[in-house]
Amino acid sequence: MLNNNRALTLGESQKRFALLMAAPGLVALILLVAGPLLYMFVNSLFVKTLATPVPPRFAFLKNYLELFQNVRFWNAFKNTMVIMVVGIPVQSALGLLMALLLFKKFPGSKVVIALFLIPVMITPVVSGFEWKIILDERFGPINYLISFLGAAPKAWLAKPVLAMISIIIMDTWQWTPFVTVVLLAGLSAIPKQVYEASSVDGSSSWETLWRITMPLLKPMFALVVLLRIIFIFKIFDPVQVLTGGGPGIATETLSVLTYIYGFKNFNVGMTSTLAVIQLIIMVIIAKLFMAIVMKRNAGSTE
Amino acid sequence: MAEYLEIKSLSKEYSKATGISDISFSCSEGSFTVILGPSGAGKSTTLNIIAGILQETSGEVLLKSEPLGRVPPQKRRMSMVFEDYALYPTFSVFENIASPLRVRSFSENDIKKKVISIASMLGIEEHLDKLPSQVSGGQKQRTALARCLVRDADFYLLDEPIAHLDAKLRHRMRGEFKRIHRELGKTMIYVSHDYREALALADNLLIFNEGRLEQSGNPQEVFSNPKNTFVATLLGEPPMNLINYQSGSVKNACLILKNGSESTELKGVNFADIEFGRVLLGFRHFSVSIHDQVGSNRIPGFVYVWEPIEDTITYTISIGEDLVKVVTTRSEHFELNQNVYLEMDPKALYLFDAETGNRIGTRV
Amino acid sequence: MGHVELRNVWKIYDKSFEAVKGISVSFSDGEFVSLLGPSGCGKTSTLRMVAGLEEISRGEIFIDSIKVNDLEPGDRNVAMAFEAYALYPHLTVYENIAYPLRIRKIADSEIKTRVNEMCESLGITKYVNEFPSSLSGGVQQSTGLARALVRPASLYLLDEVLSHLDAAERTMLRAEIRRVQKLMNLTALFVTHDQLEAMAMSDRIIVMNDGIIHQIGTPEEIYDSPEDLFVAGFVGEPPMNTLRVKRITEDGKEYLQIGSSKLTSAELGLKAFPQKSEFIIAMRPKYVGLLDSSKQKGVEGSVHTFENLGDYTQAAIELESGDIVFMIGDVDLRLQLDEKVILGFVPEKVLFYDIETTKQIKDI
Repeated sequence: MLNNNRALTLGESQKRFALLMAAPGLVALILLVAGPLLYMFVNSLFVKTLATPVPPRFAFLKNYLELFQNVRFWNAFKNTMVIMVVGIPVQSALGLLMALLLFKKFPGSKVVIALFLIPVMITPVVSGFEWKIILDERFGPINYLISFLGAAPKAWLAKPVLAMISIIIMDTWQWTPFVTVVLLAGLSAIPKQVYEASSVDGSSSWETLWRITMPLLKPMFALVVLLRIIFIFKIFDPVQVLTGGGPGIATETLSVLTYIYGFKNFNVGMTSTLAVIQLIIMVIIAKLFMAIVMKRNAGSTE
Repeated sequence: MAEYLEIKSLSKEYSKATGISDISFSCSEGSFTVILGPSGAGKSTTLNIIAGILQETSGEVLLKSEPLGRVPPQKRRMSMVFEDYALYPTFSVFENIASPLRVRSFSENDIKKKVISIASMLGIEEHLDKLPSQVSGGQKQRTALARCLVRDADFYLLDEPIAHLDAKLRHRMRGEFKRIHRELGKTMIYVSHDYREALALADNLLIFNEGRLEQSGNPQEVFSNPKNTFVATLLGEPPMNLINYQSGSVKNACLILKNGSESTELKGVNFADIEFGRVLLGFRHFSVSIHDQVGSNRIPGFVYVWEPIEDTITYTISIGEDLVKVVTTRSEHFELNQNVYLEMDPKALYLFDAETGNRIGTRV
Repeated sequence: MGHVELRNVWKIYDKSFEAVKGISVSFSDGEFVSLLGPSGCGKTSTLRMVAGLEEISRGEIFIDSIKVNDLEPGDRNVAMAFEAYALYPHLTVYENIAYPLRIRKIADSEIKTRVNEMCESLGITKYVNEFPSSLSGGVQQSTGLARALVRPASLYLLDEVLSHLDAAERTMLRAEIRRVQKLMNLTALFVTHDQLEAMAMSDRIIVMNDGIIHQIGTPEEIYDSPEDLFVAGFVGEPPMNTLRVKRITEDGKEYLQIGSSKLTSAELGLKAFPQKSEFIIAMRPKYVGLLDSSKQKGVEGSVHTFENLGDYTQAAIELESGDIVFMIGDVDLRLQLDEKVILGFVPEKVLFYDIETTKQIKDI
């Protein structure tokens, strides 16, 4: 309240000073973000490649129409969706379970949480290489381990379905801890007194989980799921390293396809079109995300 | 003759919330003015405009007949203390108190003298070397107060300076304020939401409600002659009792109150003849007694609850739709839900219009 | 049902900090008992041990003759309302109150009647479909209370339930709780730091400090005859006056010296006093009065503060020894600051305390 009042009385000269101080940041923002974005949008309206000396030609929405009829685009879209639809529920369930286990403080629980966080901290490229070794058909530890169960060695990265499963396993390994940490934060934000009230009210631990914990964790859950949707939407480096989108185009995601258009085919027009489409989808998801987060904040103000 | 500090039809409009509208009052030199009201009444807004922190929409503030409108807060010769102490955490108590003197380049000796004199007046001289984090809440509050009072200003603005202290400390400090004010002899405006503070301290009491000045004057006068139900229930603990009636009249010192077919007669009242519609009958807890028998000037009800407080008992009596509070000695005892009869002192009644809340009826 | 007994109960945190040091108390059916004390006195730890939210370090607690030390909170047949309401934020007021009934698999129709009845008696019917975060503190706490009261329990635990509310809400809810408790004949244990609340609501008060019980008694006993100086200073606002008295003999006559005044016991009106060379006398501010200096002898002092509080006046009189004596007078009393006055006490209301043990000296 008081701060507001003081802000109201900022004099003209102070306002000018404030603007001056913000200027370098604003200039950088315009040069580095807004400019390239606009350039990308313009490119998407041109037929333009760097591989041939043909001059760029304005084609309006031709790139978009072409893309929507392109089987490879829809394949990449489908692959991205598969990772999401299979990966996110698995990661959420595992993450919740881990969060509930780790929330009960036990000796060494802090160490466990720290160890648990290692996958999140590993660069995705590195984890891609790591999993490439782990899943190697001849030398990989996975095949070695399943040989004890009497199973024949599997060509994890060479068969379309197995390759997709491998990517989901890798993504789950890397991101479940993140889900756990966010849900842990959500759990610790639930007032202790609410649990005390519920225990005096006579609920069993099971009832407390379903009637108190889960509903109160819902906003955090929504948040983590939306974040995961955004992350998977842009999943690139581990896939590129692990399968390179293969075998064939079996694990090609939207980001991998964008990379191929841009840096293998040098098709600037198409690449930009693909990027614009992804940007639009992301903005929609982000809006949805903000709406949920905002609603949560509105609900929790006292 | 112009007053020392004059506030003339001050208004502040916010786009959404109500600010204050048409506030006028004046403070004579060396007086103690208390602004009393619930939160959101516009008390702090008014104080902040006088301080120059907020810009008024219309109206003006005059100091010795000079308008203060264009004078920025740092150039107004005033000193202010906020509800949250706002002490510098890395400065000792001494340096905190000395800080307003440092920016005004006093000599080291002068500073020392002034700080020690104000600190001993407030009883914190033993704590001058400590940091704010090492002293109690009450001492922090006194430090903030000392920092405000150490400056020689034309007037002092105190925004709920003791609201954060616990009840016992607050009662002590309340008494001390009066002494401090007398010793300094300065013009002070004090904002409070505690009616006891207001009655105890004020030379001039201003009652604020929803951005308006409801009533002002000598605190005792305001207490015994409230203009409306808002003022009547704001002052006093328990607050003034109010009972709803649908209509009534006064004829030959006899007050008749009606609720449907029921009619209550109170004889010997000091009102001029009048007739009215929906009305609130007001009376304070000390001008009524409880009986278990019907009698003249008695209103029937039942005991809703009773609470022993110190050496008295506070009875809450349910009358129709209303609850009223009566304080009695311990020797009188009535059971829960027992039917009782309240005998009114006919000379200590108040009548308020039920629609507007305003006082009606002329005393004779 | 509702008999509770604590036998030599201790709470020790981290193997060294003794929060509760072996308290024993029992209370019976339909009794409203308050645990009163300053913060950190062990009252909340005690309540939480009874609730089962805190382990009992030593000693035993029985509810309805069942030892509950090893029972989960939900199995102790107690209900609780919390200081910060602890409402389920994702449930409406209705669902919050219904929660303990749903856990007990009670039929929907029965839940509906009981919740609605409870809302009716606590006056929150119009908020049943609201979520807690949109409601005022008073309504939230009423909901918390309704959630506790909606199911039958041997014991209702109320943890500082009024302390977050504003003054008006507090007095209102205080009366409501007492009425419901009396009408339903509930056994309740109430924790508070507010002596006024404890007096107004309780059948019996347990005064605690530093983990031990200082006194157990009815509000009247606690107020009229505090066992020791802690209780005397904690209960009552302003608190009981305590003055050091020295017995001296001059010219063969025995005098009692209070401050710098030497008075005979006859002049003080005391029929008897402890046979000790030094002791403490104590009296409530209501039983201090001003004497006519030309006619009577009394304790000399000067007016330190004087306040008119609407329906009574309050003064702090400073004796030459520096002691402060609080005095409550009627509305018409007028005193000037620093005015010299002579004080007298109502002799029947004077209590005696031992300087060393701080205990009341009863046999004189």
